[in-house]
Amino acid sequence: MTAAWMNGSQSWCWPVARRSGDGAPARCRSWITADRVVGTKLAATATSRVDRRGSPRRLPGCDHSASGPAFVDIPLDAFGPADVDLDAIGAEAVAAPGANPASLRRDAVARVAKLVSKAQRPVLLAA
Amino acid sequence: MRAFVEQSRVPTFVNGMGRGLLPADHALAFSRARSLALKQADLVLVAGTPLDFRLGFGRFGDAQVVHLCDAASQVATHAELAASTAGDLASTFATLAESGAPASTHDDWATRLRDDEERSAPRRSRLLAADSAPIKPTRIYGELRSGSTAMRS
Repeated sequence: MTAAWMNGSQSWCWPVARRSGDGAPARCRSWITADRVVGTKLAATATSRVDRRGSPRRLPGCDHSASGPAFVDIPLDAFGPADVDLDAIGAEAVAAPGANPASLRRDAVARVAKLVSKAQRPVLLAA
Repeated sequence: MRAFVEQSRVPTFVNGMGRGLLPADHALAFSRARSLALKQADLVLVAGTPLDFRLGFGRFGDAQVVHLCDAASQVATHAELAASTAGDLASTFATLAESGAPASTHDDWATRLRDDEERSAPRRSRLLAADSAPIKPTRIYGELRSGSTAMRS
């Protein structure tokens, strides 16, 4: 994915690129894989076809505005509730579930300590 | 966590969300020897992260696995665990530090992992200083590292 700011959009898009000199367009795994950006066009958005009157906006150095990478615009707010009232969510809902130290079972910790002391090649993965 | 790691001399790897829990230049902080560590470890403690596909669903060869979580609902039920804890992770590590293994028990193991990390150092240095065009992403890290080193000194 790459940002669609090249088209003046604030949302994200999938690039469909055409390499300079190639016949068929190919979707790029990475923007860098395109040898040269020869043009840009917005193919569609997630919810509608593109209003062609406003696009494409040509990139500096583009040879053809009608060829080169095509962008499918996917506005992120089209998929999720962007109108959630965050103030309505109580503090208890966002508190860490183990925030209360008293909830820790000491016998379980002692068992872990015993395993660590007996281990020859222990590793800790923390995230 | 740092007190436990230093007291028990346990080699430690941190994922992205755990970055900063242990300084990257700490004697017990490792990153590139992860593959060797997880293959040869006899005990793997996983703290604060699920045992999902990113961690092989909690299977690390023949190693015993311990899952340290901040809530009982987060403890893996699909993996065979030697032990688990549920509760405040800071308290968990503090308690472990109080009752951990004697220091230096695992120093040979840590040295092996450090040797493995050092073996890849020349290749890493080349990537960090790569002068190719288009620029290698590793070069960015190399420049940031030299910049941050200069800021610290």
